Amino acid sequence: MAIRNRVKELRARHGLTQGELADRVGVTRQTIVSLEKGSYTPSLLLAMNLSDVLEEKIETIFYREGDES
Amino acid sequence: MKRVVIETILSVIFYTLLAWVLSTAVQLFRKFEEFEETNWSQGGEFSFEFNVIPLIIFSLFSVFYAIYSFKTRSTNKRTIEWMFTSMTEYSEGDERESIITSKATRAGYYTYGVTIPILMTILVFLPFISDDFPIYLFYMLAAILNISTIVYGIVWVKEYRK
Repeated sequence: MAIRNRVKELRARHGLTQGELADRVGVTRQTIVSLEKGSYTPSLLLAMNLSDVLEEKIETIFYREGDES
Repeated sequence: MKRVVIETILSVIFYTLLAWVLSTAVQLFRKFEEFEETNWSQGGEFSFEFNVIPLIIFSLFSVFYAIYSFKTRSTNKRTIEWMFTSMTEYSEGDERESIITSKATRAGYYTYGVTIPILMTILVFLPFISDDFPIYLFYMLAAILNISTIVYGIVWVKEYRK
């Protein structure tokens, strides 16, 4: 089962560019690109860092495919 | 990604030049054998030529390669320990790159499982060609390293673009 995320939507809400978000969570911009495309599932540490920067709970940012509601 | 592609290409050139230099050294040692076998008491003559061009090119390339690899590394990885323990084409800037590097390394490792048995099979013919083509083994070994390095680079780029 694939894991989807709302990183793109939340990043836009915070007015951050992919590069800025990448710098804040300590990864490369390409990793954020892959995350938003859904082709990369982050580690728990990166998910926690994203949760801190995007000010949302991990389970709000990430969800299993089919659990969109 | 650009750095990994360049490093992969540089590695392939390095292994090929290394094979060229070592094969030149073999030819030199063969000349030494001839020197020892020369019958001086019967007016034997001996002369030899040694091509230093491969060694010069290899040395210059190695300096360039070392400087490029050192300069393109992130600052925290510019250590002596890294210089001797890490492959230059490795790129582990973050967790995703580490995973990609692991996958590419695994693909490169699998390649040995194909290329080495093929080399072992080809070695059967070594006695027939070793006299005419004594440097063959060096190029075969360089080919194994090159194929594995190229597979590493291709898989790395493919995974990175996902």
